[in-house]
Amino acid sequence: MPDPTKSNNKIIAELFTNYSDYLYNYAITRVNDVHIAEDLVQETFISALKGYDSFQSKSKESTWLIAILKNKIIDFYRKKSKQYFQHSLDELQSMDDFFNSKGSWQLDQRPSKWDMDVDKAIEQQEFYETLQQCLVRLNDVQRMAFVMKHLDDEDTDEICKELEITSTNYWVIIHRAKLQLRKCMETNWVKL
Amino acid sequence: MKKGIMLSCEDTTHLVVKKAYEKLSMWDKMRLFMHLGMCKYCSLFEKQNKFIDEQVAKLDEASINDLSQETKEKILKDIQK
Repeated sequence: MPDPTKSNNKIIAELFTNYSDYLYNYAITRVNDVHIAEDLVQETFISALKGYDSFQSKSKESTWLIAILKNKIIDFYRKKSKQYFQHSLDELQSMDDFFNSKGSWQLDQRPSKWDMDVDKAIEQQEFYETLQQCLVRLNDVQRMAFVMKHLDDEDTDEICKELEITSTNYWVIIHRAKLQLRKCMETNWVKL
Repeated sequence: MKKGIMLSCEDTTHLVVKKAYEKLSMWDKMRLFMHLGMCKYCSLFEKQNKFIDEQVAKLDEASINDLSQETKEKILKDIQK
């Protein structure tokens, strides 16, 4: 809530203390680059400082900051050229590494049984770290499509519009991302 | 995707993935059900895929990356310029 006795600078410093780690964590999952994530957090607070007077605390401070950061992340992806997207789309089309010509699982890709108990506290941290590392291994288009769906719960049509891809391409991207994530978790977490 | 009732594993996993976001047609649901009933790999994929989805949703709260104190001070100084 705007407090006239405090300067905006001081308020932003407080917000920074409370939310910078949260925002950074949010950014790094989505952009996969420490420096870009730091820059995005910094830009978010600069925008927040400029816009603080018009922030009427209709929403929670964290929600407001995340909304600013989210726009900056989408802008960041928009700036990547369409050519780049096209190139990685071509790369993503083939499923040969997962399935043979008849569409059956390749031998080394067949899922094996998992023990899905992550409730043990010691393992929890390790689990989320691995999950994040596996997300990071997806390429930009995959990660963005996946993250917008799962972490931001956006509409499929909206994601296609923002990433400038067709819905057919979207399903290929997501299908592949899911296969890769599963395999990555099996290799790096389940068999620890 | 093949037209017949027998789906390949590739098509099955595609439908499993799609099912999490969109409603499938009756026909696709039936084909999926049949394949999953007899293919242990695809049914494991379905379970694990669902599990990963649930865990990814918690990732933002897991807060596993923190900014270093040094970086924080630097950013804060830049913001308040």
